[in-house]
Amino acid sequence: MKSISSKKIVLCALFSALSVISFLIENLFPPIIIPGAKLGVSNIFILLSVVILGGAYGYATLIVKILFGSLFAGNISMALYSFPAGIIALSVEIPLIKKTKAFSLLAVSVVGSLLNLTVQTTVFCLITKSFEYFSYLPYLALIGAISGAIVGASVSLIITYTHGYFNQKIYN
Amino acid sequence: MVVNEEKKEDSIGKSGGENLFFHKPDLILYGIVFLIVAILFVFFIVVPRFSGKNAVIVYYKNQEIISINPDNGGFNITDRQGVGIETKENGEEIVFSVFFGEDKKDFNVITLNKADKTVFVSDANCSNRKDCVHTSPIKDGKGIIICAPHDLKIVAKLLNTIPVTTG
Repeated sequence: MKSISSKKIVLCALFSALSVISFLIENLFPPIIIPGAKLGVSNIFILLSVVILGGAYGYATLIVKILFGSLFAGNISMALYSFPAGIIALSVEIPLIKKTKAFSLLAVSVVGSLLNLTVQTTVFCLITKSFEYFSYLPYLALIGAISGAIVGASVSLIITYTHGYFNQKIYN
Repeated sequence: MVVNEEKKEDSIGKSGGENLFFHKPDLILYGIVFLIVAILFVFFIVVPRFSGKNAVIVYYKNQEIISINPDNGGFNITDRQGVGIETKENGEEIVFSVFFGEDKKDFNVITLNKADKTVFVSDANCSNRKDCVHTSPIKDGKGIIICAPHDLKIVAKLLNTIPVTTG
C-alpha cells in the first residue's frame, strides 16, 4: 500500500490555503468587463499542486478552494457553478500534463481555463434559466484564454526557478 | 528536500531545446482553442438581426415586471406579488426602483438613459461585489444584466411589437 508522505500533505495544505486566500482577494475586485470574468490567480496554486504533488492532490486543492472560498466569500451558490467546471477542467489538464509531456504548461492552462469558463457559464445558464447569458460566452472565452496563459506562464516560471527544491512527481 | 542535480539539464519546458512557454505540439491545442472561440463568435455575435424592434425586458423570478422601449423612452409595468416598483423621471433619465422581499428591503435601481438609449443597473444592495452594477449597459438590442442574488435579469430582445405605453 502506498504511504502518503507527510511532506506532500503539508505542501497540499499550503497550496490550498494560498489558493483560498488569492481567491478571496480576487473576489474583492469587480469583474473584468463581464460578470464572472476573473484573472484566476487561485488556479496557479491548483496547477502547482498537480505538477509538484500529483493529480489526486490537485483535486484536493481544488475542492478545498471551492468549498472554503465560497463559504468565506459568503456566496455558497458559487460552488454550484465552480465545482463541475473545476473538476472537468482539471480532468482534462491532468492527462494532458501527465500522459503527453509534449505540451507546455502554458498551453494546457489555456485549454483548462477555457473549459472552466465554458462549463461554468453553461451551468449558470441552466440553473438561472438565463440562456441569453450565452451571448457573453465568446468574450468570456477570450478572457479565459488570456487568464489561462498568465496562470500557465506563472506556474512554468515557478517550476523552473525552484527546480530541484521540490521532488517533482509528474515530470521526473 | 531532494535536489535532483541530474535533472537540471532536463528541466520542465526545456526538453529537446524547446522554449519554456512553447512546444511545437502546442499548436494543436491553440488551433482547437481558436476554432472554439471563432465558432462561439460566429454563433453568438455575428448572427444577423434582420427584423424586430429593440425592447428591454426586466424579469423577476422569470416573470416579466417591466418592459422598456429604449428608442422612445416608453415603458410598461406589470404588477407582481412581492415586487414594488417606483418610477421617477430626471431629465434624460427614467429611474425604476425595484423592491423585493417580504419587507421590500432588497432593491435594484434600473436606469433608462433616453439620450444614449441604454439601460443599466445604477445601484443595488445584492452583495459587496454588485456584479449587476458593473455590467455593461444594454444598448442596440444587445446585452443582458443578471442580478443572481435577487433573481433579477434584464434582457435585450427583438420583438415584432412592443406593448409599451408611457407609465
